[in-house]
Amino acid sequence: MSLYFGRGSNNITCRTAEIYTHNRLTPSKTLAEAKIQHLKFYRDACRRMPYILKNSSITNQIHPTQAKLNLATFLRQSLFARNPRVIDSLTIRGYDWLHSSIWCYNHHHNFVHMIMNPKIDDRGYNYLDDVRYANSSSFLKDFYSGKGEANY
Amino acid sequence: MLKLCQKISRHFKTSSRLLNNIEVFVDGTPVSVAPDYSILQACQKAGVVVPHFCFHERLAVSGNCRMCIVEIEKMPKVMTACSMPVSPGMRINTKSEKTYNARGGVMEFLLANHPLDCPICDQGGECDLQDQSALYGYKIGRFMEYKRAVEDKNYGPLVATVMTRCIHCTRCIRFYEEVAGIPILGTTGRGRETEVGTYVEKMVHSELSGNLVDLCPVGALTNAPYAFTARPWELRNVMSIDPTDSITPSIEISCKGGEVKRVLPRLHEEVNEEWIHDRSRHAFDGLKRQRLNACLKKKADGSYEELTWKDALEVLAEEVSKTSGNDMVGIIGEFMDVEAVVAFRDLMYKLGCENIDAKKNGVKLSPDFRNNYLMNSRISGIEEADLLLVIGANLRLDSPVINARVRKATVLNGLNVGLIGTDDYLTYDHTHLGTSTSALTDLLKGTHPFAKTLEKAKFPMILVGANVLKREDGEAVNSVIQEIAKKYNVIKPESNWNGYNVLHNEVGTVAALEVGITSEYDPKAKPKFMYLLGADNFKPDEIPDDAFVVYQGTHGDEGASRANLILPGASYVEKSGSYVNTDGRVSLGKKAIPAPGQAKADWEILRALSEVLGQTLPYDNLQEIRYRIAELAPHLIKYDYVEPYSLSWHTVPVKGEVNKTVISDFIDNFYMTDAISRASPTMAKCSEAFNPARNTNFVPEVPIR
Ligand code: SF4
Repeated sequence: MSLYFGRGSNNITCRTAEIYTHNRLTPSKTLAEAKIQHLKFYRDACRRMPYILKNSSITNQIHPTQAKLNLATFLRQSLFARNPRVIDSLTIRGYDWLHSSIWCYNHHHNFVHMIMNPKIDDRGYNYLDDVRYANSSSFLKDFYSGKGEANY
Repeated sequence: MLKLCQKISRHFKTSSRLLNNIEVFVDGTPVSVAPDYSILQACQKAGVVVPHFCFHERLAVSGNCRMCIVEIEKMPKVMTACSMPVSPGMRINTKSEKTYNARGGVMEFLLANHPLDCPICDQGGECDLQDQSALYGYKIGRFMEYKRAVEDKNYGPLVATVMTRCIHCTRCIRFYEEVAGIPILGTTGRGRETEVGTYVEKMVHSELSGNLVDLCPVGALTNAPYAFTARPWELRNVMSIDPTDSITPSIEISCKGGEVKRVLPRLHEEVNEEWIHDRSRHAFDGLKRQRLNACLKKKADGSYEELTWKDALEVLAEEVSKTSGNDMVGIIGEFMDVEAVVAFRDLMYKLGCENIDAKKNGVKLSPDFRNNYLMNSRISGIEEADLLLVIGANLRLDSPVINARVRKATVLNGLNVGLIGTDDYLTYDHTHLGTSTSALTDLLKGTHPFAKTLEKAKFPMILVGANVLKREDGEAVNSVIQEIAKKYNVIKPESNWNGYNVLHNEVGTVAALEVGITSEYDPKAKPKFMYLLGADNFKPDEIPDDAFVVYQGTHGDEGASRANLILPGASYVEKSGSYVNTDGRVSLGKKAIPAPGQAKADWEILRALSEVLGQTLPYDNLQEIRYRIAELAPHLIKYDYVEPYSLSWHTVPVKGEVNKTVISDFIDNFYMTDAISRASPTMAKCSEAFNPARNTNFVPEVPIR
């Protein structure tokens, strides 16, 4: 692979610098606009995931599909944000990460927490569950919250 | 020794000629085969694949596709392997140049008039013609002429036809004639003008019609409800069984995403051979409609309020704690798995309720001995019997797959069939003994003309439809039947034969009997609390108006419409569970797709409820509940196996009088018998198409011819 997907790039395999030209990253006016920009970033990152993994020599550690899912989990941690400017800042931070990953600047540090093993917590909701389902067995807690393992 | 020989003699054919194998050579490899084998079977035994279209293991040999031709030494021309018997020392050559050229030539002729529409054909990806033309066909086509076109036929709403694609293998014709027993299809015309269809334009109809789609090697007959929804390589296939048929046929559930796309039969020699009926195959689309996906509570004005599981279980627990165990009744539904039944039984007993499955139209059988309520000679026993007496079951509607087996036995073994009940066209010759129970009493007295035939039979089989046992005088009728069984030596422990059989129509009932649930329906009792575990086919007058009714199940059907509280359950494709069929065979159903909305597996709901009630059941996952099942009945965790049981006979003492009423036709509409099929649009289409007079209130604008 020559310089990032080579010359014959198309809309699917576009060049890296175009990340910025295609996404103007102007401040969003509404929540919907901000969310769409954020989603666009996620799709851009997914599209480049195989390349990123290959470039960082971690294809043997994680599959692109799993990496995409992990990234989604990571991004969902900020779902609570309702302020467009906050979401914009997350998007910009994401693009910064994507850019540096693709150009191999300082990417390994980012992978560790974003793609390899995102730390998922319940953002305080588990405390709510503990109170709500107090005195229940773990079966009943799983039954109510729908978190239990599937029975096959 | 002599006794042993007598015992096993019926398992062997007597002809000594069959015992001497002969040796043939397939591609130089010697194989020893029975002398009645065809060359194709010999090749199969030698592990050599011979391409074929028209040959099918379960149909007669016709030899008209010519694809299986092979070269045989010392024969001037190539021969069709399917229709040629082997002879000693025969040298078969399947890899010679002559064979290759001949196969290529046949393929060229088949493709001459076969349209090149694979990209828009539903069979693409699982088409015999596509596969075999890639392997055995020439690489270049030489046929430049126009292809023929054939008008499509009406095979009903389940089978889509594109008859231009037909290669005249005649499998569909032979299936209708031999298996379904309705000789309605045939070929007309010759050569290029050959067409498969009915001679006089008429809709083709059978309860087994879905199997045509599996048989047709090309895309001429395809699955109409599944048309253009998925390609075979996109599907995820789950090997499961179908509890909506009481013989639990083996099926393959094909899903794409979280949706069931189609259901196909799997081979199971002892249960369904290779067939399933149309309701098994097509009613699954009822699982997407009318589904209950949230807990609902009926408010005072009749509208429903949606609840979370926690709230719903608390409401239920409060209601249960107000009622004493004696005022409760639990009813087990048609398709309940053993896990749910055991959890239900345990919970109700903990609450002090003994009235489980006490219903007015319940099957009046005792669970004490397995030979009192199972199909003792097994489904495969039909082929060993020489006389079958069906009582109160229209086999063609009650169990079309068993009916196909009976038909096979009548044709191949000369099985003699007698019927007591509503007479119908059963697809084979049978003697109709009478419509009412008086035929039974006559048989018992020996005054009935059929009594002599019954006396002479070596391996007689009596098949009692479960609906007879649901009559008010069910127990009395059953004891008369058992007396008949005794009198005519239907049970012969010395020959390992028990000919008394019950044909259940609900697996839930069998599961309840297997774990020993029995209770008497008390017409005077006024239950204050009723728990309907997936029960939809109950009589409304069994439920008092002021009772609090909980319905736990899948569909918004009869049960849910009467319920005060609705708990959404998972259907048979959405949970793993074990089911017992009418044979006593335990089979494992697998989870194929996730349950919709809040719906949960039934035993999980009962387990959660037990904890809210403070009577926690001691199992948290499937494995633990199966240990509990094993405690109750160890044979219920031996899957795909019928635990042998004592054949010595325990008759039920007569209770009450047999009333001499008519044994009526119980299935009104084959396509709509349960909550799932009643919700299914495909089954609605079938009811309308196949039963127009009965199932529509409207006078058609154009009269139906
Ligand atoms: S319709 Fe199909 S099964 Fe019937 S003859 Fe034609 S190819 Fe064979």
